[in-house]
Amino acid sequence: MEIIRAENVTKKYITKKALNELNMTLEEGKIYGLLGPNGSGKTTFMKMIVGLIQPTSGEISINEKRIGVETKKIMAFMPTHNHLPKWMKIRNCVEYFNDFFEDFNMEKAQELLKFMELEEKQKVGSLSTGMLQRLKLSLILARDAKVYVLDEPFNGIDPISREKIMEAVLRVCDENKTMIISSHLVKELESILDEVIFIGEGKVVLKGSAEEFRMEKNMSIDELYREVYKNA
Amino acid sequence: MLKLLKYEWMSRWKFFLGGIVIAIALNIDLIRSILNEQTPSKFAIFASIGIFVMGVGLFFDHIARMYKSLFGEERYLLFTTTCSGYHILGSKIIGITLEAFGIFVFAMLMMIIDQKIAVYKYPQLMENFQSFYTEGIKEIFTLFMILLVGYITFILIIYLSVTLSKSVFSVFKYGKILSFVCFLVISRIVGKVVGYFDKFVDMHALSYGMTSFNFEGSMSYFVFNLCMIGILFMITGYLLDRKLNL
Repeated sequence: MEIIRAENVTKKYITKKALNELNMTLEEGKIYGLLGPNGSGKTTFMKMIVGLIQPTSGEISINEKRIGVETKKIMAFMPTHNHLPKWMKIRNCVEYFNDFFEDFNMEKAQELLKFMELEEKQKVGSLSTGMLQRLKLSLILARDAKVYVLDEPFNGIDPISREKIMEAVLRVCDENKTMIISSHLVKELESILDEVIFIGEGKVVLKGSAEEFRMEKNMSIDELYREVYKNA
Repeated sequence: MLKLLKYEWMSRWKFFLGGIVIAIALNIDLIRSILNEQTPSKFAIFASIGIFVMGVGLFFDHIARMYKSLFGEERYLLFTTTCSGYHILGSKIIGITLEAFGIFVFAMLMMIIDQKIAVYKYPQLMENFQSFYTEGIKEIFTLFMILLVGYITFILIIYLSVTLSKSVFSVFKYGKILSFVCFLVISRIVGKVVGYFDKFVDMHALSYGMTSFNFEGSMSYFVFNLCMIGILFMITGYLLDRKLNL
């Protein structure tokens, strides 16, 4: 079942187009890898579907609804940078999510925090990059959202944290949840992807099943990525 | 909306607590000086400066609240919650209003307590305060309300300008400058209209024992500001809800 539809979406800034007549449909129950080099439009698209950026033209619908308060209820977004207030303790962050998201599961959050080796009394401002990424992910995955949007979840983190994040992502996935993960660390990500979407200059360059690409082109997604963006 | 307010205050409780402690300490010191017929101590001078600095700090904090929400790291958290733009703006305005009321009530309580204590030493104070309990409080409250609606209008003009820089003007290179120009233009227009009410509301006449206070004029001023608050709130709320580019 279709969950996200983007039609002729353009985002124009003064000197450049971050998205250029982008068309895309995403289905329920799949893990999508949004791949592309820096400045290709991945983050712009992600911010757009969670309602943080408005398109200059074109339309986006989530679950057949226009982006707004109703769609925010089913979308869980993890940005690249820290978006949690530094004065908060982890306990406060959990309370915050519990206060603002009806689908937030306290027990699941405690479980995930334990799995990610985080303590509730720790202050956000004192966490390392890896710990912060793990915290952000724990909070997002503790929601029973329909769509999870993770922007560069592996940015600046060590291989052990990466493994933990991958494991946590796989734990929450089921046939009703859609996961959109952007990254340029394709090698680490490719084992969990159902579908890959290559974005370049604000457009979809290539889209399809990760498994089929591997079979058809006889190369890994990482190799395909290098092939697609060799001139970028 | 109240949940948003809860987190606004959670991050500031130390500031408010500090303010309350300094104000109470200052008040005790002043009362002690009055009762002992002494000049105010050095502590009273420093505490007064402290209170003034905190007041200025609170004013800048009120202005910065929207700026932080739109330009700070936490913007992605706030605007991905299920709160609408109107809710977010509403929580900020309610917060500022309640803080102003809190300060007003606190100051009034201090004044009344001081008077009750000082009256033992200076019984003649009671005579002067008779009218305070009847007319004085009512007039001080009216003045407070007039200042409050004016203050909220001013804050909303700033919030609208900040919101413009992250919505309509966000694609322009000089979006922040444009929004500042908007702030100046809106302030000027509002200022011109408010100037019309100046002849009714003579702030210089507002002192204890006031006789020339024009309630009719102040009511027009009050209603005008309420209308401005409504208009500014709707425009800013709409921009926050539908036109943001974070």
